Amino acid sequence: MTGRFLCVYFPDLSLNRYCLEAKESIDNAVLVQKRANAFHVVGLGLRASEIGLTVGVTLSEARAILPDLKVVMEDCDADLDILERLARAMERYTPLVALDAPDGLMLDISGCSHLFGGEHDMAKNIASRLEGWGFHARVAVCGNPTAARAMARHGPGGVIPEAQEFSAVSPLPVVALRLPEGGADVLARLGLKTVGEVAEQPRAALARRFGPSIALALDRLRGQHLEPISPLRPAVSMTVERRFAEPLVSVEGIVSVVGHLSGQLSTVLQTRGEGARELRLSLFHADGIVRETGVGLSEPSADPKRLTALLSPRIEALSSRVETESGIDLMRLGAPQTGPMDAVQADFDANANRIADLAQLIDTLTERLGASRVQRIVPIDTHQPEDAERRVPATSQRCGAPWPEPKSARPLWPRMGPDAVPQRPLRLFSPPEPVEALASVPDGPPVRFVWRRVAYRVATAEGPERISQEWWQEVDLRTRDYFTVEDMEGRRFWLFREGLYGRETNAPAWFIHGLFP
Amino acid sequence: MVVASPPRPYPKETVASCRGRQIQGALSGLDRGLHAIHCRSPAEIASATGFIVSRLPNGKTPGSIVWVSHTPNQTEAGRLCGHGVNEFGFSPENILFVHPDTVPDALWAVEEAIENTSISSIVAEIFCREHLSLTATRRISLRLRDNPKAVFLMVQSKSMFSTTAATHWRVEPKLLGGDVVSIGWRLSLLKNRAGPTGGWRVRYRIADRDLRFSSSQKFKRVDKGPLGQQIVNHDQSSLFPILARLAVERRRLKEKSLERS
Repeated sequence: MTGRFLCVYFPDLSLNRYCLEAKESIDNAVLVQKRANAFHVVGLGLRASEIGLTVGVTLSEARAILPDLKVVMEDCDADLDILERLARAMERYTPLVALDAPDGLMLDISGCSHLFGGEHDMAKNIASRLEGWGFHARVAVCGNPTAARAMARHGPGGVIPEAQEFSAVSPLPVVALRLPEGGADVLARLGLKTVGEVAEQPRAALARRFGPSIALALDRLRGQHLEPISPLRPAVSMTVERRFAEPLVSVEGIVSVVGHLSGQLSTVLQTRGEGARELRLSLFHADGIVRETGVGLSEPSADPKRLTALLSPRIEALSSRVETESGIDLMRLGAPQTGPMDAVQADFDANANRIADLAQLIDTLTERLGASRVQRIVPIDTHQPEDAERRVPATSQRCGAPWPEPKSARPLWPRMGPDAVPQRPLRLFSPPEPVEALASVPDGPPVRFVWRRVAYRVATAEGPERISQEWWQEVDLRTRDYFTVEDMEGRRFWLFREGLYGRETNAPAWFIHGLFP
Repeated sequence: MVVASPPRPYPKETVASCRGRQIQGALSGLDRGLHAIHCRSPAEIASATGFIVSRLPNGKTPGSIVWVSHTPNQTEAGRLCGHGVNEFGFSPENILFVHPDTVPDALWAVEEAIENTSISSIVAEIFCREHLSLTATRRISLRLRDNPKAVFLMVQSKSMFSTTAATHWRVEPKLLGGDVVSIGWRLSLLKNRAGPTGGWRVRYRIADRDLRFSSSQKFKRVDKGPLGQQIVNHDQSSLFPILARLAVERRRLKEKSLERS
C-alpha cells in the first residue's frame, strides 16, 4: 500500500467566503469575472441555478433573467487566503496538508484514518465539519492524489477502495485528465467523452497526437506514477495533542492543558535524549479558525515547567479573543526544532545550574521583548570604532563562541595593562553627532565646540588618533582624527574631525562620538 | 590592688581620614540593595556609568550582570561601548544587555532579573521619570528583600524624585590636573538611609579599581548667576532670594539708563 489521499473540493468557495464575510445569504448571488471587458458569470448561488442561470452568460443577460441578483466579484487573493486558512484547520486530521489551488485541498491521510473511525467516517467528519463552517465541500478518498482529485472535482466523491481507482474514474469526463489548453475539446470532437474511452485507445497513438502529458495523466490515474504533493509545511515528529468533547473557553483551562501537554512532550523528548529548541502551540477553534503561537529557546530544554512558563504569556495575550470567540476543541503542542541534551546532575554542578537559570532568564526576556532586544556583545577585529563590536541576540549560538562559556580560557576581549589609559569612551553615540568646533590650527584639537546648543571650552586635549578607512570596504569613509578632550568642568568627550584638511576636504566636519566617564 | 589606668587618649583622627572613612562606609553598602543615581546631563550619565561599572563585581562569570538600557537613553547619552568597558577594567562578556522601549518594560526586566539566581547585579538606565513612581521602586525593593543583590537605577530627569532606594547619588565629572591614569568625580550622596549624606571629591584608578577620597574639603556647587557671576551655594532653594534681588537690581539699572536718555 503506497498511501491514501483525501481530496476536498470546494465548488462554491468564493460564494461561501462572501457569505461568511458579508453574513448574507448567497441564494441570489452570482460570482462574476471580468473577461474581455465584459462581466461573465462564473459561479451561481442556489436560487440562481434553480431559476435556470448557467455559468458563462454575461452579467447583463443574468440580470435580465433574475433582476434582484447579488453580484459578487471574483477575488483570487481572498480565495487563496481562505483556502490557506482551511488548510491550517485541516491540519487537525493530518500534518500533511497541501493546497490544490484554486479551490481544493489535498490531504495525505496515510495511517491517520483509523484515528477517526476509518476512511468513511473521516470523510463524513470532514464534510460535515466544513458544512458547519459554511463551506460546501465534496470529499474523495483514493489511493493516489490524481484519482482523488478527479473524483472530488469531476465525480461524486466518496471513498474508493484500493486498486479500484481506475474503474471509478473511467466514467468521468475527459476534463478529469487535466490536459493542456484545448486538449479536452479535441478529444470530445474525436468522440472520446470519458476517461475510460480515452484509456482504451492505443497509447502510442495518443502520445503522438497529444504529447506525453496524456500518457502521464493516465498513468497517474492508474496509480503507476505517483503525483507529488507539496504540504504547506513538514510534519513535526514531536507532537502531542488533546481533543475536547466540549470546546474549551477559559484561559485558565487552556493554560492547565498546556501544562499537561508540556509534561507529555517532555516525556517524549526525554526518552529520545533531546530538548526542544522551538515550540509551536496550535489552538484549533470549533469554528475553523486556527491560532498558532511559537516560542524559541536559547538552549534545548525538556523541563515541562519551563516550557509551560514560556507559553503562558502568549496564551494570556490571546485571552480576550479566546473568550469571545468559539471555544477550542483541539490543542496541539509540537517541537519543530530539537537539539541533543546531555543529562546533568543538577545538585553537584552549580555552574550548569547557573547556565540553565541564565538561559531561562534570556528566554523570558526574549519572549516579551524580542530577540533583538536581549543581546550580548562580541568584539570584531576592526579599527573602525562603530564596527569594532557587535551586539548579537543572547539566544544565538552562532556568532563566536557559545555563550555563556565560563570554561573557555581564551579571552574574547583584549587584556589591559596595569597603567593603560582608556582609549575608547564608555558611551558611544551611534551614529556620531555633529558638533560645531573651533580649532586653533586646521589640524589641531578643538579649542571650543558647541554640542546640542551648549558651548564647551576645552581645557586639555589628547590626540589625534588617526583612523583611516578600510580600503577593502566598499563604503567611502573619510579619514578621522580622534581627540579626547576635557572641558573646564572636567567633562570628557571623544571628538573627531572627518576628512584630512587640504587632501580630502577643505572644510572638515567635527563630530562627537562618545563620552568618557 | 587595682590601679586605675589613665584614660586612653582618643586616636588622632584627621578630618581627611574621617571623611575617607565616611565615604568607604557609604560605598560598602552598594553591594546589595536598590540605589538610585540621579543624572541631569549626558556628561553626568557617562560619569555615573563609570561609577556604576567601578562598583560592579568583576568576576569571571559571563552573563552575571544585566544592563537594562531604555532606548531613549541611548539616543540621549549613547550606548555602552564594549571596548570602553573593557578598557575601564570590566569584562563586557559578563553583561547581558536588554533594550526595552518603554519604562514599564524596563522595570519588568529588572524585576525578572532580580528573581533569577544566576544574576548578581542589575543596572537600569531610564530616561524619563514619568512612569517611575514610588510604587515601581517599592516593587523592586520588595523583590530585593527576598533576593539580596545590587540594583542600580540610573535615571535622567531634571528634578529629584522620591524612590524607595537606600541611597541617592549624583556623580559629576571633575577636572583632575595632570593625572592621566585616574578619573576624577564629584560624588554627592543626596540620600542615605543607613548613614549621613555628603559630598566628596574622589579619584578612581582603573588599574586596581580603587576609588579614593581625594580632598578633605566638602565641595560647594558653583552655579552661574544670571549676570555671569558665580554663586556658591549648597542648596538650590536658597538661590531664589538672590535671583529675586538680582532681578530688582536689573530693573533699577534699566530705569536709570532710561532716565539718562
